[in-house]
Amino acid sequence: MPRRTIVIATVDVGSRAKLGWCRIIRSGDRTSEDAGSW
Amino acid sequence: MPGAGEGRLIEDLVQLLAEDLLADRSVALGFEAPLFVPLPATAADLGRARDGGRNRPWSAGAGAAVTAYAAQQVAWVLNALGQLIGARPLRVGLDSAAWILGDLDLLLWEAFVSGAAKDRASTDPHVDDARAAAREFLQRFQEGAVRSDVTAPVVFSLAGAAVLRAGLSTDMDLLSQAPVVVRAPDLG
Repeated sequence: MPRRTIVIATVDVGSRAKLGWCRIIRSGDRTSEDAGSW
Repeated sequence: MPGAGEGRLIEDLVQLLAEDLLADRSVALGFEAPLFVPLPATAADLGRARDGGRNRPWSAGAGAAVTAYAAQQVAWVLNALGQLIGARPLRVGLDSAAWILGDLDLLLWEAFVSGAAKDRASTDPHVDDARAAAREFLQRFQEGAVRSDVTAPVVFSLAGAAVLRAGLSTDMDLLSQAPVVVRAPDLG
């Protein structure tokens, strides 16, 4: 398993009424998340 | 429970991803929309669903609408990302195995969240959908391979077209490549 830092992000797609995104950062054994709406 | 960064716009995500790429982090960016359609051998199969698409076809109902949105929004995100990256060479592609090996800087993939995978009680369902798909991608990455839940024998790649339109690659083969589709697991 590669030990580099990876970022996994997802964007919800559709009308601009209320959509979301999420971003996960994985570095070694540490994982953090942030998210937003648009 | 909302995360610390909740409430931020899509522009903020693009900025964060640009910073990630410029810091040499490997980025896998998923969109919750069909990113490829089948290119059938015969006209009789035009409009047919993708293998594994369950009852959520790309060509009807909500699937058709979100496919149209994706054609614009994926290209917009990638174009904005490209502008922030500038002249920095970027290896962009749709091959998850290559991304796992570190041969791609930016991987595009399709998030599939439907039915029992959705939290009907959520106060922010779109963020939760995005989170569920990203966590499932991470799970598969940690298992060593990101398998695809939806396939087609021959495809027209909307993701590949968006990459080309944004100027992030000149590899025309991307138009024939399907991104990996990761279906969020059912809740329960």
